[in-house]
Amino acid sequence: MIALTGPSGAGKTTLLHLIAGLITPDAGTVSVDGQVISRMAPGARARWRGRTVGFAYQDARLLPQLDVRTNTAWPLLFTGKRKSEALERADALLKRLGLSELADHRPTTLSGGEQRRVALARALVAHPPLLLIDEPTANLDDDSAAEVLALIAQVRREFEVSTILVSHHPQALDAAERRVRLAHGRLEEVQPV
Amino acid sequence: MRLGNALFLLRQHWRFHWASWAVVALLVCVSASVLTLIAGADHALRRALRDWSQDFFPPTVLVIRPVTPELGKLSYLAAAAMSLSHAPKISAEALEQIGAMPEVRRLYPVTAPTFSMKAIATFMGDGMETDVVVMGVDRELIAADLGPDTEFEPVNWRAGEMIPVVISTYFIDLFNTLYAPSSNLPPLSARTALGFDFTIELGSSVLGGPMSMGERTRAHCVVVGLTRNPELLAVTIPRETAEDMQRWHTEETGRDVPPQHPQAFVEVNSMEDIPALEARLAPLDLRALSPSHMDRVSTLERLLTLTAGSLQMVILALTLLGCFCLMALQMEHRRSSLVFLHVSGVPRSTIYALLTGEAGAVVFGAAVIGAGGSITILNWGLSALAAQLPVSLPPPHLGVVLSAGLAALCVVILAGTVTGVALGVVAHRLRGVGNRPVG
Repeated sequence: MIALTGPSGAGKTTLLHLIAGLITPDAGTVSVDGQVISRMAPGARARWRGRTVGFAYQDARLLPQLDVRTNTAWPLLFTGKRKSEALERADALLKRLGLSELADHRPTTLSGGEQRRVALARALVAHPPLLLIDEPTANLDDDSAAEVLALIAQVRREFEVSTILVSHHPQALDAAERRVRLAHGRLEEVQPV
Repeated sequence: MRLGNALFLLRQHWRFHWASWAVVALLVCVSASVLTLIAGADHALRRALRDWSQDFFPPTVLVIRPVTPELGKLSYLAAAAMSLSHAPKISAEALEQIGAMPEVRRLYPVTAPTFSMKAIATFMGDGMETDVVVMGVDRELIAADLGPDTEFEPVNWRAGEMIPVVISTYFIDLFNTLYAPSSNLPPLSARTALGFDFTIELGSSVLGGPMSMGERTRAHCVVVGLTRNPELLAVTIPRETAEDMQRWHTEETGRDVPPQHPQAFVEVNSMEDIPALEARLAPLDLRALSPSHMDRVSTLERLLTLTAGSLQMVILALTLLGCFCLMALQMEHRRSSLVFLHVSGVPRSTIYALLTGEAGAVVFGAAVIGAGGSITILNWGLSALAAQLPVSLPPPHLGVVLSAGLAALCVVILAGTVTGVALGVVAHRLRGVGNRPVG
């Protein structure tokens, strides 16, 4: 796991977007696992992203009209899988992550920490090899933040997924194998080198 | 993406955004309904106008008249020096030449006696007298103004047989608007006028008074038809009867004056023949009155269409503006989910297709309901009107079919534009997300 840190406006989220292929760089190239994604056509990049990247935003961005189960299955509904199969996989994942009891709830009835955990589950449902997490503990109380970080640790342990995390939380930084500090859009420090 | 999944997601979106979609649907429904009503009314009006005008002025039937001097360019003394005999007429030879012209399919001469006549009638106990112009025409020219079994044949009027006459409906309008109110008489309807009998006094004049000729006789007439043809603003009788009246005049006065032909009607093979016919008539000092009335009707039709079209464009523009605002608002609310779709690896084309399907289904459904309702109302209304009005309306089904076509066009425009607007908004939103930091 790599933890990205830096002051506001340093370019952390922009770097995540570049890695996810949501934006392309003005200069240079972006390569992920040997693939130059910045040169891909937009459609191909989107499909690559669907196969490769799981993204969890700090504000969860769950769809209020869908329950937790369907929210979790959401990315699979666009990949050609049957709805029933997608929901089964979502159920299995929620159970594995200990979120089964939330499956029938609407996002608006969940706490901030619960919403982040569901968002994490949604990011994992398509089994991506790369997980990008943006500020998972922002605006959460200590208990909720601890629950979210525990879930991230569980995910890393059980899913063996490469993770890039934007966070200032000390516990998250401690858990990361590498810490990258950005300032003014530049790499300022990489630990350990 | 599976169709079932797409429908499932659409259903979920609709359930959540139902109020916004309901307002869009209502707006489109009302708009399509009004657009269809306007289109249908415009079509029905133009069709009725064309039918009526073609009844009165069949485009291939022309009036031929002598080229007359413009009295307005003459001094009073010069004009006063002209006698009635100077008034140009169509000669019998000219009529023969016209009948032989290749452009002419049929010739209908109009014969007018050369002496004065007055009509004497009694209506509800009130006696009336007025000078009249009598014209003799063939039955075929006024067949449309007669009932199928109505006799319009020459009669022995000298033996007291009733002469069948066709009068202009303008006489009834004049009676109803001027004479009846001033004389406390009830207005006449067209049906009341049919069967009305009166007497014509030949060789007599109300205006001429003592200047009337000496010999007089009377002929009894009965109204068998009414015409709206403004070229027949007279008491129209069978042509042979008019010729016989002229013979009576010759017998009584000893002056052998042949009947006059102030005008003639010709039916040409097609409207394209009119210029050639006009060219042939010019050397004979005759002119064909081309259907300038039709030009006026066409102008009126264009005005109607322009008005209806302008109104439709305004309604369409307002509808689209409303849809744009509502959909832009909805897209703002759905920004997160749309962005997350893109982040989850859904290509823009799929997102556009989803939104197009969603907006298109709502707009199309609402427009079909609105247009369908209007078509039903239009059909019912036209049928009810046709049953109530004494005038003929175009067949309702034709108007309905054309209206449906126009409505379909409006639906396509609306659906296409609204979904286009949606795409534009979404594209803008997605680009916006891609270019600015979110967290």
